[in-house]
Amino acid sequence: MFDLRIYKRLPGFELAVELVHGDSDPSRRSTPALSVTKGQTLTVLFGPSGSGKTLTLQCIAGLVRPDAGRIVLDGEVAFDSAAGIDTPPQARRVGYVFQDYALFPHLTVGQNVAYGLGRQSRPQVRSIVDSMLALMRLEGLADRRPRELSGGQQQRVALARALVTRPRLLLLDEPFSALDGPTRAELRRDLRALQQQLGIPTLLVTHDLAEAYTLADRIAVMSAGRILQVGPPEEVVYRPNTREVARCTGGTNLFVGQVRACAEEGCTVQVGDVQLDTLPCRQAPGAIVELSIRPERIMLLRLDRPPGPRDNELTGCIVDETSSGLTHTLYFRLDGPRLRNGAYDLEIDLPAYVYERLDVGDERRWSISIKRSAIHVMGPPGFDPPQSTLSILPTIDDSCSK
Amino acid sequence: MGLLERVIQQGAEAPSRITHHALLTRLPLILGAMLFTLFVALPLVALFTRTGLVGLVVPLTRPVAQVALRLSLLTATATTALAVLAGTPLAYLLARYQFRGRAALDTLVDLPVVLPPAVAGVALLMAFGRRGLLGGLLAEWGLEVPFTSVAVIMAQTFVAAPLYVRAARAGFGGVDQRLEQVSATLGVSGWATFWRVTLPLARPALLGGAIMTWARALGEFGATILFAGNFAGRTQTMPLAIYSALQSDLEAALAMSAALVLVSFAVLLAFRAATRRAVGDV
Repeated sequence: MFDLRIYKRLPGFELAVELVHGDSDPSRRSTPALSVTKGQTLTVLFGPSGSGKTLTLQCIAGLVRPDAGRIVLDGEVAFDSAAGIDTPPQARRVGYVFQDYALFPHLTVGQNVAYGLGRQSRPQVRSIVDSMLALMRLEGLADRRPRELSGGQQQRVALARALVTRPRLLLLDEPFSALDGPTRAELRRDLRALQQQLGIPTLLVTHDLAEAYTLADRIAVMSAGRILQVGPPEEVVYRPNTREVARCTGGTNLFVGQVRACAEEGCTVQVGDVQLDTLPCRQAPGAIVELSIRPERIMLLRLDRPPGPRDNELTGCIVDETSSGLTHTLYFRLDGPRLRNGAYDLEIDLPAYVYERLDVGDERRWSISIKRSAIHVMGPPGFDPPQSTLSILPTIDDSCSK
Repeated sequence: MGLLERVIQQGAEAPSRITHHALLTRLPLILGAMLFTLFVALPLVALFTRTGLVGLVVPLTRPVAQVALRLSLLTATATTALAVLAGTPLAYLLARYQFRGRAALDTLVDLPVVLPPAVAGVALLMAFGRRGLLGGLLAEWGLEVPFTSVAVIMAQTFVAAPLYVRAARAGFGGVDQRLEQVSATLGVSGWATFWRVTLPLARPALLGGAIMTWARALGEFGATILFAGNFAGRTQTMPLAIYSALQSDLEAALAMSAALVLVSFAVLLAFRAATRRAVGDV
């Protein structure tokens, strides 16, 4: 549905993005959870602040002119630096919802929503606006001014205003960042339902992993002006291609190791002084690889529990911990051979109820088991993954960047 | 003396030691405020107390006053119209675009505001006077600008129009550009966006600027008398008529002055109403 190649250089920042929407890649279509038709896909641009997410949206909408590249929307070229094409924003039919909504303060809610409806008869405009307000659960607010609305209502007005023009692509810039928790959760569900219902391809920007995971058909992980990986949420989170992606998606246990042996049922990787059993990893023995162990998938076992056939059983003690209220993060130091030097070897995330049930607060010494499936083996450090599925744009001009 | 009462009342609610202290620190404030208020209020009061109400109204019906009043209203309004027509695009340019020489243009626009009006009058003479830069050329075409009603408008425009441009520039600059961007993504062209978003949002500032320009033009004296002269019926505006009358007919001068005070007061009220809407507490 859209096809982007954008290059833009700003003082101290370089954006180089390539993204293909409405993927023809059959391996993705076969994933049942993602068997949505092209028009319904919601792509999340996910990355830390300053990674170029908003700039990407602005380039697509035509608000910022890329230095080079090509933007194709619905088969129509909106921008092509080589061909000298640069369609102005008002002709692109791209809906854009700003982070703080940017509602017209001098217009009522109804006038805001009707703003983009061209020359149509008055009753026609009214009926379109009324049905859109009903769809967004904003009935009865048509005569209010934006400043008389709550944040959530303002957000829905902004969405309604963009949707009435039937854009071929909807861009949402951190749409929920200014809202409180419960409102945010509610509006996320609404947006998902609405997007499925209207079938408008959507590109949403967020730096919130949970938000990206809940909403996305696929996530494009962005960092420092580059798209690092594109894929379904579970792939990006549990099978990151690089250390950088793993770090962005909450991978806190990152190691470098060497493959010792490989067999049908799995491989053995040497990490520090420990040999870890992993799933088959398509690497030759002797290869240097990076590993990510998800902190929430490490199992905590009582020391007095009878030994059994468990993957990667190790013992140690909790040297420190922090809590977010819902999740406890334990800093675990191994007794014998270490995974790495330092105060601790692993971070372990534990839901609060498990933490309480196991009495972790009183007991510091534990055994742990790391399932083979919890260890994700990536390529060698600095490894550049194949570009066919990742759509990473090679740096166009490297002479100026470090 | 509402202020004093309030201060004392506030003091009375607090313990006595603090009362003393509060009164002591506030005394200079109160004295200063009173001094200033008296200084401004006294002359204005004096204007109205010298003669009775009849004495303030009757001289206004004399032809000299009538002619001057009409000329003043006419020229001030023409000046404001000129300022809005030419100043709006200039203000938008200054608020929205970065270009070479922008800072210089910005300063040039502000200059007449601080320039002494007499200097403005001399400068206008040097440009459009018979031996001025452009004056010779204009004279050849049979156009004599100085000492005509047109010269009055030019003098007023030179001095007062920058007030409008400054206000409009700030007004346009205060309009969130993302609103214009949103408008574009909704399929509305730049020109329509200006009329539907930018102008309505900047309107209070533009209105305030226009009112200030009109008021300043109405009171213009120095540049007018130097560039346009003081000819009854042609270039003698209210301030000039007051100046002339003061030497022969004090009653008329007083009446016209009182009339201008009332007009100024009305202008101030209008300005407040216009700019209060800008803040948004309708």
